[in-house]
Amino acid sequence: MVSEAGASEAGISEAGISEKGTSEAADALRRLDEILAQRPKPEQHLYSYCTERLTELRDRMIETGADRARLAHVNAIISVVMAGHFPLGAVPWEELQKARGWLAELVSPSDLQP
Amino acid sequence: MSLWDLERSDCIVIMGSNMAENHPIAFRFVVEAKRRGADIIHVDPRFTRTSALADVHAPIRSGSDIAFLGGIIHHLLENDLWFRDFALAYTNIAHIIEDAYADPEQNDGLFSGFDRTTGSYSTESWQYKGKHAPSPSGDHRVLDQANEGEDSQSMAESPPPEDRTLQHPNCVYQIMRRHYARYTPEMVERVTGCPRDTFLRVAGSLARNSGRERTGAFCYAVGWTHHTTGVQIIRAATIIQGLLGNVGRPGGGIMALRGHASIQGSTDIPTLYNMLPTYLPQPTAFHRHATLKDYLRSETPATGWWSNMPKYVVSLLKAWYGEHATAQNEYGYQHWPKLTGDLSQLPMTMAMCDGVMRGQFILGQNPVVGAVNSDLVERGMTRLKWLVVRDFAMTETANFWQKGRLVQRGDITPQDIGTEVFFLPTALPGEKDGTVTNTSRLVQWHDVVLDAPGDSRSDLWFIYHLGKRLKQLYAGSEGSRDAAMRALTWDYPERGERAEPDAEAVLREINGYTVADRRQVEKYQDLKDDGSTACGGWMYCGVYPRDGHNVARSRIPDGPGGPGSHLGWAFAWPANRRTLYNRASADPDGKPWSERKRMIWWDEGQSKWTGTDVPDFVATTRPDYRPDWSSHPTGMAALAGDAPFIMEADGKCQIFVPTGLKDGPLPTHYEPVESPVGNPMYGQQSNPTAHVWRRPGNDVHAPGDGRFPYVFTTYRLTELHCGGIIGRVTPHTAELQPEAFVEVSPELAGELGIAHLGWTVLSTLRGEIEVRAMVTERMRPFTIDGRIVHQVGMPWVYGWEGYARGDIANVLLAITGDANTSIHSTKAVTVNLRAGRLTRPGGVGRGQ
Repeated sequence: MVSEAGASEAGISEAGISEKGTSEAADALRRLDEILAQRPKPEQHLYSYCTERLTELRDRMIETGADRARLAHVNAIISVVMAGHFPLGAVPWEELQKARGWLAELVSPSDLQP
Repeated sequence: MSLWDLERSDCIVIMGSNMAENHPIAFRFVVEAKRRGADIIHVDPRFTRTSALADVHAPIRSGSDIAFLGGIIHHLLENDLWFRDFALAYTNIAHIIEDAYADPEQNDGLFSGFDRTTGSYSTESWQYKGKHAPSPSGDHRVLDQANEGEDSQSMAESPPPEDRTLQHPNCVYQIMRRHYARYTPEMVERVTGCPRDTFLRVAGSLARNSGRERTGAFCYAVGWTHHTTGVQIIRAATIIQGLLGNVGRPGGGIMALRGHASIQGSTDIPTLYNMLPTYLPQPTAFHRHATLKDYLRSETPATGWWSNMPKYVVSLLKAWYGEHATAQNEYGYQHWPKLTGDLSQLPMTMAMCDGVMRGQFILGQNPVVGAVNSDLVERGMTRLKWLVVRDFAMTETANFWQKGRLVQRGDITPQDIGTEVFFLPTALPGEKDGTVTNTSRLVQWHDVVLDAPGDSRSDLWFIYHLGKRLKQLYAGSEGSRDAAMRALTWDYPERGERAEPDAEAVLREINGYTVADRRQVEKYQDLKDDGSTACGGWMYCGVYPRDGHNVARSRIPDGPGGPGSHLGWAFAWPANRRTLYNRASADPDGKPWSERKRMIWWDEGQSKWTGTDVPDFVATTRPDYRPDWSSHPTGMAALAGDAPFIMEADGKCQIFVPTGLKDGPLPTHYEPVESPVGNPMYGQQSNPTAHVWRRPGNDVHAPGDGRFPYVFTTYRLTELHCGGIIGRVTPHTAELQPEAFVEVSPELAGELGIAHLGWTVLSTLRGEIEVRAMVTERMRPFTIDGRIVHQVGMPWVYGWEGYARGDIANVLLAITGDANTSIHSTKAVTVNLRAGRLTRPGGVGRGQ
């Protein structure tokens, strides 16, 4: 874990992710919304974009020593997005919708402004 | 079947394999069969050393295997050449399928149940009428809520409906006749390029060498599996062998040629993401697998041998978690990760590119050379934080950051790559104890001959000590995420200064033991689902049945004139049985089909099955046993005494597959995803359920794309074993195959102005490479659907390391996958070819 001062330098918010992190989360959320809007057959590159943003967010959280519960939260979202990208059978749309909700919790409304 | 059982075959079809060069030890039994009078047939795009030793070489265009095999099915059915007594009794040929079933004949290439928006099938209309037949193994079935296994109970209510007169329009026989009606010899020639008469010679030989007195075998390797229709190609051979009675009998069967580097063993005790040891399905997150009870209820078929699955699952949990596995905590079931998606190599390559993985261990692999789309693999590895490569010599994977194609091309510099690479030297086979499981499921022990030099260590040593350190790391953790590591039993004895773990202790655990007194379990029938037994892989039960008795060490062959099953030679899982489903070697009354082909029979005097192999049936179930359906029988009680295929829910060979496949119940010819021609059979061009992952760097050629007019295939070389590195760094073998090359027919070489040993450039949308040409008549142009189609081929085992070097063939390949297994496609893509060299930074061509 980083020190309180370190956390401040990294811009870690109360939610446990940095300001930069919330912008990555917001970008991922936009992509996830596009995926959901294109149900049942979204463009595959959307999954990649979404995953990229989420893994950047995850890596930043690891580097800055974010709260483990928050990290697990983000990892769960990554798992579900990958499940949509590389499904074993049917795409788990219900779970993707849930993951959208979990991701939205990390993003403030202002981050979603274009 | 056993490899040595091939010598008892009367006809051997080798297809999808250059067996003489790539499985030379196994090929000795083909040679022996030929000496005894068998017909040897090689079906392959190239004329190879295997072809040279065959009686017939049938050339086919890469990717047209199902058209060829479907043609054989058509030939057998329409000329009534199938083994009726066998197939009617032992296969589902008489079973009646749901009224809603519709064939590709009706849907221009698609089966009923296809959802065009999702590109996937539902399997309801493929079921036996009024039933839901479970898949014998959960890993490949269509996973959605509608296909949970609970309704397999219907199989315990009554047998599937049949019409043994074969007149019912929806019985499997009639469906197959309609399905394969268009697979005529003329169509076979049109699609595959194989001359009609050559095809008929193959079909005739197979039919002539089957029946009560004779048997035939198929041998295949990755020439069948590495397609987007790979599973269905193998299925097509299964249908032929079911129709001809070539299953479970001496000299009959389908030999999957494996065995390089214990590939069979790594499937049994798997490195595959979706299987637990010995073919138990990995639980998944989005299905009814939340608790052990749910998982077992969902995945355990009501009838057949797999009804024993709970015993194997609970015993596995006990082996892994020991005293931490109790009935109160579901025997540690919650420690098992639940799958969320396809975590096989191809998706993981792309996930690596998307930054998902932070690190990777590479053991026994050289993916920069061996995985498809090598540039994309390199790009993915640049995203890793760390990479551990274990090998006995430097590989392309370990030094991609320094010598890789991306670096050579100037796309990236070593300074820009943040991946920390750890290269760790490994021990070679003679430098470690352990087992190799070959293609016959034969587990053979080998002892260490001498210690590996320097810091080289066995993979077992590495995994064991890594596990020890991880357990120490998490010992003080209270987090639930670390509970599995804390609970894991990891108590193998260490030996010597190097603290090498005792490999026999691992094998003893895999065999299984009773928990209370730690006595070895003798057979899998003794395993329990109450936590009283532990077993690391139920099919291996019997390999170490008593302390000090490692059956895999045994080397007692049958003498001349002996039964030829060689039961004293090592251990074949399960139960040291050499031929699976060998109850089928006897007729429904339990008598051998013929004296010449006898193996297992019912001994009325002893009231049990006996013979030259270990019977694959309940030893005392009489041939005339019939289930009492009024009692709703389960398990083996639901299988009649003349139902040899005990892993299936009704004991019948599945010529038609109601559950377990994602791309149709019957093999159907589709063109490869990349093909220079349209599908002459149907409007549906390619397998509609194939995995095609389009992304930048993984563009796929459209059918008939004129920029890439040639069919391209890849293969191995005898001299450069496995991924090539072992032969490339050894001077004796390297000088035998000193440089990469592409094989080109004289006709195509003439058209393109390519000289023998001259330089050529091969290109696709994934990348381009340069190699010298081998202009050879081993490659022939094909006439496909009325026009000439050229095929070229290249060994994929070269790279930039070692004495024998050359460009990597897999640079050319796209990441596409079979719908059922996600296996990559390496055997049939399209390319462009030209004479000349590449322009590369610093000069023209490599090495200048």
